[in-house]
Amino acid sequence: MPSVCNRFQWAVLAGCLLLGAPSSEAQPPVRQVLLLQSFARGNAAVDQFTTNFRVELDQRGEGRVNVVQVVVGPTGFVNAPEQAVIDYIRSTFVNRPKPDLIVTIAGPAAVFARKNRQQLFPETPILFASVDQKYLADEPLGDNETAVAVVNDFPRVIENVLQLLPQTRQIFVVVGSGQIGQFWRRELENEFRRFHDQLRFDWFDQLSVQETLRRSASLPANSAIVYVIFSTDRAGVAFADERMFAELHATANAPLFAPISVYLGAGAVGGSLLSIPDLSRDAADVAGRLLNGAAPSSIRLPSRAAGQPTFDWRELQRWGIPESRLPPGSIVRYRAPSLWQEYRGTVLTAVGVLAVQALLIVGLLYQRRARRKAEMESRRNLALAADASRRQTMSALTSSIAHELGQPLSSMMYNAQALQMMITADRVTPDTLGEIASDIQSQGVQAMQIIDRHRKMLRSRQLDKKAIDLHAVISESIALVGHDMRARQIEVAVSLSSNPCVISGDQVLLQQVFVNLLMNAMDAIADTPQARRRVTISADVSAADVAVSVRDTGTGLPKHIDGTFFTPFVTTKANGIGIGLTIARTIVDAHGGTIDAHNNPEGGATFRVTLRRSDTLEIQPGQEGAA
Amino acid sequence: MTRPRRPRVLLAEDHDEVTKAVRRVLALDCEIVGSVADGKAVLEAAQRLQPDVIVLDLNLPNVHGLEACRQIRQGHPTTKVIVFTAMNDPDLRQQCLEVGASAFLFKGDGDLVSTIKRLCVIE
Repeated sequence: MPSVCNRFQWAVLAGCLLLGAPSSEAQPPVRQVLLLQSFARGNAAVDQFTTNFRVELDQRGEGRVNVVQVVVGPTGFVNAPEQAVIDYIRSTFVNRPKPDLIVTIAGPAAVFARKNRQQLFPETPILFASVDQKYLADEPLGDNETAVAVVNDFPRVIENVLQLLPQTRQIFVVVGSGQIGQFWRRELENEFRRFHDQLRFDWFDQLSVQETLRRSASLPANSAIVYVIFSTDRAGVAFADERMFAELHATANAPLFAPISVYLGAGAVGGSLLSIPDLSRDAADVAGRLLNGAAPSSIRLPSRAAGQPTFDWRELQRWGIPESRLPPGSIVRYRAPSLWQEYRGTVLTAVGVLAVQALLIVGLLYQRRARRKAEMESRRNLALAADASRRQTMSALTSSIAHELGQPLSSMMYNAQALQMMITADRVTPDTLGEIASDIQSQGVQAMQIIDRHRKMLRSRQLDKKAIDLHAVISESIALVGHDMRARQIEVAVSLSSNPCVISGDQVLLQQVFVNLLMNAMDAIADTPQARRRVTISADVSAADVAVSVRDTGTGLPKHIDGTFFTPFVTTKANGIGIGLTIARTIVDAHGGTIDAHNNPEGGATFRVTLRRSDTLEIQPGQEGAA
Repeated sequence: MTRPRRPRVLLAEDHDEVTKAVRRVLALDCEIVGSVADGKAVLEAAQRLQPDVIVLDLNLPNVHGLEACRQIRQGHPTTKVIVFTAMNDPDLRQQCLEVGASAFLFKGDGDLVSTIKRLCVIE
C-alpha cells in the first residue's frame, strides 16, 4: 500500500485542545500540499530530504499546511498500476480542498507527475524537487511548473577516488536491481566511459544482499566502492540504504564513496557531496513562495551542484589516506578529539600527578644512587679498615710469626747439619738418609704453610664469599695465634665437630674475626694466674646456624662499656684504638650473621659469632677454607 | 790417655721435629739422657738425670724456660743450661744470662755441638 502521512488527525486533535481558548482572530486557511515521493522509506537521501523539507516549511511560518504524502515510484511496493495510484491520490482529496501545491521529490515522482498531469489537479502549481537537471533539459518547465534541480556529477566522484587513491584500478559500483538499478547502470556506464583506459568498472547489480556483501569482503587490492543506490535486490526485496550502507561498511575490504552528504559519517570517505539539507532548504523556500501566491514561472533557480569537499577523518585514517591528498579547501569532519580537548581537566590532573610522581621517582633514583654510592664507599671503607686492622693484628703477631717459622727452619738446618756430620763420620745409611730427607721436606712444607697463612692475612681484599668449612677457618685462626698462646702460657681448649660445617663466607675476613677474638681473649687473661689461663673455642652447630664461642677466664667485660663493645674507639687496652671489634661486627654483618658478648657466671667473658649454615653449597677443592 | 766422656745432655723442647733434628746432631758427640717438652718435666728430669747440659727452649708449657733455668741453676749449679730459642732478642739473652744460663743460642744460628763441648771439657 502507498505510504500516507496525514496531518489531518493531528490538526483535529490540536483543534480540540484549543476549543477551551476562544480566539477573536480569524485563522488563515489550511493549505493542502500533495507530496509525491519517488521512493518508500529507506532511501536515505529522500528520507532526509523529506524530513528536512517539512521542518523547513514549518519554520517558514507556513504552519497551517496539510501534507499528503504518497509514494509513486516503482520501488518498495508491489508494482501497483499507475491508474490505481492516481485514483488513490484523487480519493484522498474528495472531501477536502484540492491541493494548493504539488511537490515531487526525485526523478521517478517527477516523471509520474508529468505523465499524469491531467489527472492530478492540472491547475495546481507543481514543484519538481531534487530532480536531475538533465531531465529538465529534455523536458523544459511549463508555466505552472518550477524546480529545485540538482547536478548529479558521478564522474566527479570517480575523479575524487583517483585523487585520494591514485593506485585504484577497479571500481565496484552499487546500484541495486530492478528498474532503478538498470536505469543507473545504463546512465553511469555511459558517464564512466572516459575512465576506461585507467579503471575497470564492476557492477553490483542483479545480486542478492548476501552476494553483494560477500563479494565486497574480498575485493582485489586497489579497489574502491561507489555507492549509488540499492533500493531492491535481485528478488525485488527492498532494503533501506542506511542498513545496506552500514553492512557494506562493516564488511567491505575497500573504501566506500558516495555522491551525497547523507553517507558522510556513516562510512563514506567523502568528497564533493550533494548537500541534502541545502537542497531541502531550497525546496522549502520555493514551496513557501508558491503557497503565498508566487507564480511558478517566476521562480527559476540554478541547479544545485556538489558543495565543498568534505571528508570523514576516521575513514581517511582507516584507509591510510594522507590529508595532503585532499583537494584544497577540504573540510575534515569527525576528527578524533585530542586528549587535551576531550579530557582537559583529567589531563591536567594526570599531568600534575605524573609530574609529582616523576619528581618523586627522580628523587628516589637520586637517593638510591646516593645510597648505592654510600654502600660502595662503605664496602670499600670496610675493606680498607679490615685490611688495616688485619695488618695491625698481624704486626702484633710478628715476633710470634718469626718464632713459629723458626721451628721448621731450625729443624731443617739441624737435620742438614746432622746429615753432614754423619757423612763426615761415614756413618750415614740409606735408611737414615731417606728419613732425614723426608723430615726436611715435611718441615719445608710446614714453613710454606705458615708463610701462606700469614700472607693471606696480609693481602688486601674485598669481601669474597664462597662455600667454606667454618671448622677449618677456626683451626687456621688458632694456628695463627698458637705460638703466642704458648708463649703466654695459655691453655687452648678447642671443641669442634670433626664434620665440616659449611657456610657461605670469606675465609680470610672470618679468620680475622676469630683471630681478633682470640687475641682479645689472650689480652683479657694476661693478668690471670698461669694455672687459670684458658681460652676455649667451640662451635655449636644447629640445623640452620652455627654459633662459635670464644670463652676466656679473664676479668670479664667492664660494666662501664657494657653495650658499646662494638662501637668504634671503645677499648679497654692501654695501647688499643678500639676498632677491632667494630670491624669484626661489620664483617659478621656482611655475612648476615650476628656477634654478641657477655660475661660468664664463673668469670671471664664469652664472645659469640652466629652464622647461617649453607650445607647445600659444595666446597670447591683447593679453595680457601676447604676442609 | 783417657777417652773423653761424652757430655750427658737433656733436651727440653716442645717441638717434636726440632727435638728429632737436634738429637741427630748430638748423637755422634753427646749422650742424650732424656728429652722433655714441658717446663715442669725439665725440672724433674734435671733432678733425676743430673745431666751435664740442658738444652732448654724458653716457650715451654707450665713453667717458662726462664723460670726453669733459674731453678735449675739454683738446684744444680754444675749443670750447664744452654737456652735454645727461636727468638733472637738481646734483652732476652741478657735475661737468660742473668738467671744463670751458660749460653744463649738462636735456633739454627750457632754450633750447638761445639757449645756443649766447650761447656763440658771433661777429662
